[in-house]
Amino acid sequence: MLELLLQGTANGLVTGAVFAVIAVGLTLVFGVMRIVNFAHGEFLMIAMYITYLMATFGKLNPYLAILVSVPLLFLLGAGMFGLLIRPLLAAPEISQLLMTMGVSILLQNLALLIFKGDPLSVIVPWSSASVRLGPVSVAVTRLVAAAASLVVVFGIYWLLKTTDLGRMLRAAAQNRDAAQLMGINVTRMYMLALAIGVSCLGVVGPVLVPWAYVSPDVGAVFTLTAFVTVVLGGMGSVSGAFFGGLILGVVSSVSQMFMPGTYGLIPQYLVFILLLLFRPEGLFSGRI
Amino acid sequence: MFTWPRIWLERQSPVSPVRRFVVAAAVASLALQPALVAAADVVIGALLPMTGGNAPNGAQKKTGYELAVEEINAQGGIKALGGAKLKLVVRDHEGKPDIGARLADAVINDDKVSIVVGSYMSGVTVPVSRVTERLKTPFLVTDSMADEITEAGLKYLFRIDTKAELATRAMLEGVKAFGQKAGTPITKIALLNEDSAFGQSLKADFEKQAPGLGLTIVENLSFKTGSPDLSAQAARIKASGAQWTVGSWYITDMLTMVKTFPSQGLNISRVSTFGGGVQTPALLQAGDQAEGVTGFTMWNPDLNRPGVKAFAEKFKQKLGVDPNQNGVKAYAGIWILKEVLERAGSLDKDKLRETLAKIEITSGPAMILPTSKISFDATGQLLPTHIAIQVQKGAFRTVWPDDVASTPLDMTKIKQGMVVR
Repeated sequence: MLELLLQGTANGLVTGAVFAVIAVGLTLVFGVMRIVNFAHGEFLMIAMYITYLMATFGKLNPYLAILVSVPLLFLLGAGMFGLLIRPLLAAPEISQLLMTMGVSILLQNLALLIFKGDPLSVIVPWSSASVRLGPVSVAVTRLVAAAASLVVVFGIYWLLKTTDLGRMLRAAAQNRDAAQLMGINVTRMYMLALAIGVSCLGVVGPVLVPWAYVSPDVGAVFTLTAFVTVVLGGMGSVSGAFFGGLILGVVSSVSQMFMPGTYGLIPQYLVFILLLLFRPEGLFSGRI
Repeated sequence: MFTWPRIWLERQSPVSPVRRFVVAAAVASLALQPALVAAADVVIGALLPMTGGNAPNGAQKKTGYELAVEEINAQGGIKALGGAKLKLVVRDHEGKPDIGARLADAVINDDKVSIVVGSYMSGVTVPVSRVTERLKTPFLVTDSMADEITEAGLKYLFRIDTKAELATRAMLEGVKAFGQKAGTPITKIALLNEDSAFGQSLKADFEKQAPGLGLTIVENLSFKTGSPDLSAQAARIKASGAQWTVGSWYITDMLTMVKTFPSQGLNISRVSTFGGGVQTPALLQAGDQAEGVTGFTMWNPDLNRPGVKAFAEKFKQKLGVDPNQNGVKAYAGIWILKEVLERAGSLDKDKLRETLAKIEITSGPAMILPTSKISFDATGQLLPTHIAIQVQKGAFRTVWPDDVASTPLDMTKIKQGMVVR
């Protein structure tokens, strides 16, 4: 019983780290631009397909795909901002929201058209390897995913907290007009927020592929949890996304350990609802 | 109040009576023409998962249907209907029950199909069957195992796929046989079922039948198909002391298990399911890691059935991969429908239903199914046979029952027991 609990917690922490990094990108976009990017999961899907192609046809280590997908997603994010979001900055929020939703549907169906609906899989030599820590064993592929996620989360946190760019992004998030008066190019900050937020997924995609399967709707699977994590942690807060991700990961993993089937998916949302009832602004609202 | 038509009262037509008669006769014969000239197509509606996690098996079925339709049309169509050609309309239900129900309605009312086939997922077949019954349209279930499908008293539903209670019995007997061969009698099993109509049906049947076969269920788990994370289930099975794991899942779950179970210390060759959840070419892409995986199904290309080689080759040419049981049942299903259409000689849905209910087929391409006679019982169920397959050297081989096995069961991985660490 205790063993199962420990195993569940370990799995939860590892999965939660991945939720956290996906949520961090999303919260950065929301925090700075106040736009909910429904297409966030689809960028993850793009990164995963790039990884699949490189691993299957280039016979390369899937992790090398990080070198390709991070810059590519950065450019895609910047492009999406310039072409689709910037013209809508003055429009009502609902228009911006619907635009990102449209991008999401477009990307999913493009992927369906190009790759068909079959779930694709990449097998690496270390797919079945695992690490034992006492009574708990964790798959190597998931440990790598968790480690990469943590690096990115801390990287974004460091960026926001210590660098000038980070300060400018936070300023644009806090008060758009005041930031402009201070000489910050707010529109460029928006573009950078989206581009950086989306390029985080360029790290997540390659580390997810060895243990998850790639299909056009894989983004949607992770997007919902990412949204819940962002709101739980406080929209705009990186530390909130980090801790929120870990909490949701552990709750979901432990509850699936002890509750049958779909019931096991309920507790994480119950926790979410309860937390919001008592702290509607989220865990770390207002802080990066 | 009746009055004579004015034209009849007032004046004669300027055209002579003979001419009028000839024109009237010509018009009348034109109205009768359609019955004598080339007959309209027979439209068959297929509801399949063409997108989503089960797309590979949707593609298998579509290819099976299309192959049969092409062959039948090339041979002259349905002779009893004046050479009418078969036309297949495929609609994608995406694996979602509500979409399936809506499409059933659309395909019958808009596409005007005479017969519905499908749908690969019990969770979708159940609501579809309610619609086809309400609209009095024959529904030939070529793939969906849940017991409730033929237990709902539906008159227009017929199934050539196996029934969960029969398949689960075969699985448990097969697992016991594997244990005998490995020299370790199986007494403790773990159940792992996905939680839609498919999994729920199998779960209930496993629970009912295991005690009668001397098997104790030491762990009983369910999960949502498509979950990217099955490590909780793996940990529980490992801790339970089970010697074999049986259950129900779809291909994406099998891929997840092949990747994650070994790293959790579970022997994947002792984790078996039925049908497309294991017998899908996508599993073979896992290479060495899929070697030794066992599962159960109704058909495999290496079975000694008439016409198998020719069928398998044509199928592989069309889809690019070998046919599995889903592709074969789709193919056989359409050939069965051809017989039905020939014997009914009409597109009247009630006539088709009657013909399906009484039909007996013992020859022809439909006999690619491993059974001695194709006929349906009072609930619309065909009596199926089952086999076990194993991944050996990158291909699915039939390993049980012994009288149809093409190669013996490979013990390399199995003999390591359920827990390998």
